[in-house]
Formats: sequence, structure tokens, C-alpha cells
Amino acid sequence: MLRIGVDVGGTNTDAALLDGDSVAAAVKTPTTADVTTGIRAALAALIENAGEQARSARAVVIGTTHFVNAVVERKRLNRVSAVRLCLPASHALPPFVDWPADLRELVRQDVFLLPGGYEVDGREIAPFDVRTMEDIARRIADSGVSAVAISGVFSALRNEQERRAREIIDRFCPGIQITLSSELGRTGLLERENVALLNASLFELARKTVAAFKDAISGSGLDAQLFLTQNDGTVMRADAAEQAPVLCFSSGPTNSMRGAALLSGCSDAIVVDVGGTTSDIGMLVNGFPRNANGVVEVGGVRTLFRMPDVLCLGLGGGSRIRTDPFRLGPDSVGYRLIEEARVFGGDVLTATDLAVARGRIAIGDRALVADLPEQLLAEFESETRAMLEDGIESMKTKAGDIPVIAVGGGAFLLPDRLAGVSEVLFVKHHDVANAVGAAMAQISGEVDRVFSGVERDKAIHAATEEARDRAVLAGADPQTLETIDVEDLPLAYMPGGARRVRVRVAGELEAL
Amino acid sequence: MSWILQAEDLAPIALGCAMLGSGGGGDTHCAIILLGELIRQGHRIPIVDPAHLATEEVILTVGYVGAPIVLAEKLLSGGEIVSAIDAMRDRLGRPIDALIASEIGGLNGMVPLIASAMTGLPVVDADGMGRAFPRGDQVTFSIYGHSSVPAVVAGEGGEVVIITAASNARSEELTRALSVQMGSKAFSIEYPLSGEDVRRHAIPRTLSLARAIGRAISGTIGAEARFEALASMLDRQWGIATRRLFAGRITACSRDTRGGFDRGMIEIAQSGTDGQLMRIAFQNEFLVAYRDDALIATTPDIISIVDADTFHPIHSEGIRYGQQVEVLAIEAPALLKTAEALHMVGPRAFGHDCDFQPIAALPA
Repeated sequence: MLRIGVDVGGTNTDAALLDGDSVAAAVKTPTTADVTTGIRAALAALIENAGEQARSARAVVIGTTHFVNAVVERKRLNRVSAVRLCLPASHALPPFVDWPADLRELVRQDVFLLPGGYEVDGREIAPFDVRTMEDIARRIADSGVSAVAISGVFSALRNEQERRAREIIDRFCPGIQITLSSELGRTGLLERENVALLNASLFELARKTVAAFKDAISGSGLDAQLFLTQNDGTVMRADAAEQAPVLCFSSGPTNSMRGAALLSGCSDAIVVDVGGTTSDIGMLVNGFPRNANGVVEVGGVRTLFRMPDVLCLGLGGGSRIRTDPFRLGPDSVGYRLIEEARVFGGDVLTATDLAVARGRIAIGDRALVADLPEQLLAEFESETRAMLEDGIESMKTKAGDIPVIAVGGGAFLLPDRLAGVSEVLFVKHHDVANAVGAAMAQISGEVDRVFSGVERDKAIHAATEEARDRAVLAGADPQTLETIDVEDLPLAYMPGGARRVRVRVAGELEAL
Repeated sequence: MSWILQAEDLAPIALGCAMLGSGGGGDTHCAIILLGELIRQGHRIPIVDPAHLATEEVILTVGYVGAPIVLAEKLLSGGEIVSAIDAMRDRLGRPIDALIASEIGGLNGMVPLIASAMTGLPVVDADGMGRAFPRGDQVTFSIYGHSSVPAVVAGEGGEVVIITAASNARSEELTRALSVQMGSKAFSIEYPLSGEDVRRHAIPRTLSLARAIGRAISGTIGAEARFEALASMLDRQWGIATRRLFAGRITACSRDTRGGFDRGMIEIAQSGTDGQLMRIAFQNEFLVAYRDDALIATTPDIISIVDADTFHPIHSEGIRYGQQVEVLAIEAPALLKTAEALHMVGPRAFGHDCDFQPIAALPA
């Protein structure tokens, strides 16, 4: 089946047409202030490039930094009321307490705490209080707020109370958007609750963005279903993305890593994605990005949820070079590279100029950098090497050499050999790896649950079956499903040999 | 010197508490936020120098007992603090004059500050460990013969339990068992002390020390400058020796959870193929360090693994392959280095077949 992948970056909007596992066409177009116009332009360019076959694509997968940018820029966010099931515990640090003041002022509507939550062994801290919850739901309805986030102590282990709270709010506040912390975040109340609050604050933007993306697709003369890429490297239907925009936060680096896996045929490797200003280093395990296992800050808010583990270095094609003394970056000319870099007739010395002088790539006019001294080139080479080797080493989980896949517009900045690296793979279409990654369009299903009094094998089997059902429901072809992640944690302090099992499966998008 | 806690003291104190935690002690993030809120609401938190305590004053040792995962879900709220202190006052039949930390390392170094805001009682600028240790009875108060009872354990559900007539070790076991029953998070008061006890047997001015360490590390940029600022401040103002034991990258970390403690071995290698190797054994806290198989530092000296760039201490749970780190050692206070103290907190107390090797003896 033909799929189109689109990656909206800060500088470029890239698009690729994928036929099975091969790239049928790819284009690079500038990102526009109004993102949708840029997507429409990219789709038009792709159709022109690929010819009529592009029109038979049945899926358009878009990866966008739209939602994370809204949080970072504090724009286009809606107000949110918070409901936390915790009393008598955890009341002194209410929802929003550790947010930066400006963001809190913008998003916080009302905060409600009520009895509930669970102990670490699954007992209730306090029973769910229907009367109090109904009272809170009435006040939420009166306030007219459009989105609510519900959290509860240890809800990542048990979430019945969060679900009961949702039912009641749903009944009293028709049409309101409700986010449960247990459906998005991990253990760590404040951080999981923050994920839910951020998600709820993006509700209106997500609805508008998805509608605009759908318009861009139909406006381009395509009869294709819209998907959005998510943090784990798989995709979700537009209606699911509307409910969980936080899961799109890190789609840029994730798409590049997935694309690198496809383009290189290598599913366990380090990926270095060199852009105009920075390089992202990530680790592929089984073809998917490795997750971060700690707190990730988004726009100054601490979060704990499914995010790829990415290390960002200040090395890009547009990084400025100072010569006396030698200094690489951290500032960059960014998208003005094609005007300001020396090889393009400008007067700013950039990393690209040095790569051209060293013969790593032929762009612009090499004669314009012929005067650069050998010593400067050597200094640049050794500085780049040190940065990359250091970054790559710190992303490994064990000692030993590992392959590196070089992608992104600035992939030519990578040396052919690096310490701790078995080989550096340069691949065709490296500059649109992100769009290729989006077009791969794998669908996943995940289950994360505590099993009590069940043997290990049976628990994992039950969780896998349910994860497969979820993936199929989300649009995966059952024939292609593979298990990509099994985590099994015995909970020593819980009675009855309880264990927490997390299973994730992924497969191809079912032919539509 | 006595002082009043200010909002801007919180971040440096938290950083210093983490450094003195020697890889252990709970996360201070929630304590910083909660104390920031309490100060903003107008609570005044006085810190008194132990030298200013009157002989007959009554001082209570306070802290939280529990599992880190639980403290990440059931956030500090402090309701149990007031009922626990009320129960202790009734039991002793005397007014309480001040609070002191059981351990300065990690979260518990900041718990008396929260308790002070809740009760109005001042906090003594001192603690019972000068660092963090795995067990509650590894405090100087126990080492130098003070009884931990009567002790109070309080859960956030409102339950308060008083322990009397138990040995210090037994009281520690009961406190842990009660904490599990209370949802693996309980507020504990033990070692009711006199002003004179604190003057003689507490590690003095450790809150000020934590603040000074935090300020020194964050007041400058770059590993060289940060170490220089830290070492010269500790040497000149506190007479404490500091050594930079090693710089390198984590190349291995093995773990094993037994008896509620996280134990393991960390390996750090210098860059280059023929570089030196450091191995550090831990049990929650970093306990013993070897450089190329030669014993170089041991508990009770404080061994700290810090980020090579920021110098922020890394918790033993947070050690991962590939981290670029420096290993620092800070000299333990004299009260931890006597024969009776080493019996409780020296390397042999943790099952290591070696004697205490003071880092102050190493070349600077």
C-alpha cells in the first residue's frame, strides 16, 4: 500500500511517498508560518514529483512539532481544570504547583482535590466519593471550562477511580474533553499529572490542527486517511491524536530514527540526525527509539511519560565557526545558510563551509573556501569528532562498538570513522529520513497492568493478547503484528505474587 | 550563628543535601516546592546554632521513613507531622523546644524545615549523621548511647503509634514495619534529646554546610572552577578535606535488591585504552571506592558521584552506563571516625573486609 509521510520541522517540511519499504519519491519544501499551507505545498510538490501514483496513497502520516511548540511558546493553549483523587494524602502540593508561573496563569482554571487514590499495594487510600465528585462536576459545568485532567495517587497501578470520575464528569459536562493521567503517564504523581494537564491544555489546538490537516489532504486532491506520528515511533489515527496530542511531542527525532532504520536496513544502531542548528542522537532498539526512563522537561514542566531518549548537541550544518580562538557554535545561521554561508557567497563561516573545503560534500562554490588553512580544518575535524564520540558513548547502554546511521540535511558532517563505532552508515534519502519514518506508519497497541495470583507466562500472554486487540482496533493488520517490548516487574511489596506487565506490539497499517 | 531560612536558600540546601547524601537519601524536588510555598505563605523558619541551645531544652529527631516510589506518589503534605509532635509532647509531658534532622543527606535533611513551618518550632543547625546511611539507628545519637525511645510513628491517615521500652535496633525494625503498614510512608520522631546531648553528639552546623556546598557548586561554571570553589571553601571555612578521586565514564553498574536495600557495584573508566579504573560498592549510599584495585576511600567519608559538567550529585539509583562523571570525597566529621562510630558505620558494618581509610591522608 502506498503511504505518504510528512514531517513538519522548524525550517523544512519534508514529504515522502513510500511503496512498501521503498521510497518512490521525496521532496523538501520550506515550512510556512501557517503550517497547513506548508503541508499543502509539500503534498503538491510530492504529487508533481511522483506523478499520478501518489494520488492512490490511502494514508497520509504527519509528524509535527506544533503541539510541543505551543507549550514552549505559551500560545494557543486552552484553560484546564484539575481533579485529583488523593485525600487525605498529597494535598499540600496541588496540581500546577511546580509549573512556571507564566504557563500556570495561562492554563489553570480550577483545582479540585477529593478523597481517593491507592496505596502502593493496590488498597484504596479512601473510597471513591460519588456525592463529592458529582458536586465537583457541577462546578466544572458551571465554569464553562473546555478541558479537565483527572489524576489519582498510584493510578498508574490501578485506575478504576479515575475512570469513575470521568464517567461522572462526562455525564454532567457533555462535550468536555477529559484526560486521565493513568492513560498517558508513569509512576510519579506530579509528573504524570503534568502530562495530563498539558494534554488537556492542547485540546482545542489539537481539534483545529487535525481539521486543518484533513483540509490540506482533501485540498490536495488526495483521498487518504490522516494519521499523526507519536513519540514511540508508531502512528495513531487523527481521532486518537486529538485525544492525546502530548503523544506527538517528540515526533521529529522519532521519525528520523524510524526512517534511518528503514533506509539502512539496520534495526539496532545509534542514529545521528544532523540538522541546521543541532544534532539529535538516539538509540534504535528493534527498529524503535529507546524510551527515556527519567523526567523530561517540556516548556519548563516536569513530565514522565513515553518519550524517546534523545541527546541534543549544538552541531548543525549552519553552526558558526570562530577562528581566533577556534570555536564551534553553539549559534547557527539556521535556515539562512543558503544566503550567509561562505560557499553560497555570504560572509559567515559555517560548519558546512568547512565540510565543503574538506571535500566531504559538493555544494555551493568550493573556490570560495579554498583559502581556509589546513590547521583550521584539522581543528574542526577533531572538535566534531570529540563531540560526536562523546555523545554516542553516553547514549549506549553497554560497552562495545555499534553502528551509527547518519541522517538529516547535515549528515555529511559525520566522519567516516568514529571511536566506539563499528561503521558509519550513510544512506540514500538521508535528508528526508524523517518523512520516510513518518510514512512507515506502523500501528501499536500497549497494555500496562498489574496482575495478581497469575503465573508469569500467563500474565504476559494475557497482556500480549490484549495489546494485539488494541493494535487491531487502532487499525493494524493482525497478520503483521510483532511484540516489540515486554517488561515484567515483580512487585515485591504486594501480596499474592503480584507483577506489573507492560507489553507493546506493532504492525503494518491494515489496507484501507 | 542562628538564621532565618529564606526562599533562595532552598535550592543550594537541596543540592548540598544531595552531595552529603553520598548517593543515598530521598529526592528533594517536592521539599523545595513545598517549602517555597510555605515561605511564600509567610511561615518563618528559624535555624538555631547548636551552641546556643540551653542544657535542659527538649529536642526531637525527625524524618520520613518509606520507599522512594511511594514518596513520588503520596506527596509530602505534613498533616501527620503536627499530630506526631503533639503525641510526643503529651508523652514526654514537657514542651518541645526544637527539631533536628536524623540525617542531613537527601530529603530528610529538609524535613525538619517543613515540620518547623507546620509547628513554629525552630530547627537545630545539625543532624545525627552528617550524611545519609541506610539504617535509622546509624546515627551519632545511637552510637553515643542515647535511647531512641519513646519514638512516634505517624501515617497520613491520622494514625499515631508510640514505641516505648525497645532497644534502638528493635525500635528501628518496628518503625520500618509500621511504615509499611501505613502505606510505606511514615513520619518518625525518635531520640528525644536534651540541649546538652545535641551540643555533645550531633554533627554541628550541617544545614549551613549543605547551603555552603550548594552555593559553591552553583556559583561558578566548569568542572575545574566548581571543584576549586568547593574544596577551598570547605578547607578554609570548615577545615574539611575534599579530594577529587577520579574522572571518567560509567562503564558498568550491577544491582541487586535484597532486604529492602539496593546493593551493587559501579565501574568507572578513564578515557583511552590504558586509563585507570575505579570501582565503587554501594548499598543505597556509595560505601567503598577502589582505584585499580587499591582501596582509596571508604565510609564514613562521603563518596559522591557528580555530573562532570554541572557537579550535581547523581543518586545511586540514577547511575547509568555512559554517564561522564567525577568522583569526589568529602571528609567525614570527627564524631563518625571514633572506634565506637566505625563499629556502626565503618566499612565492616556493611560487610566489607577492610578498615576505614581516611581520605584526608591522601595527597591533595
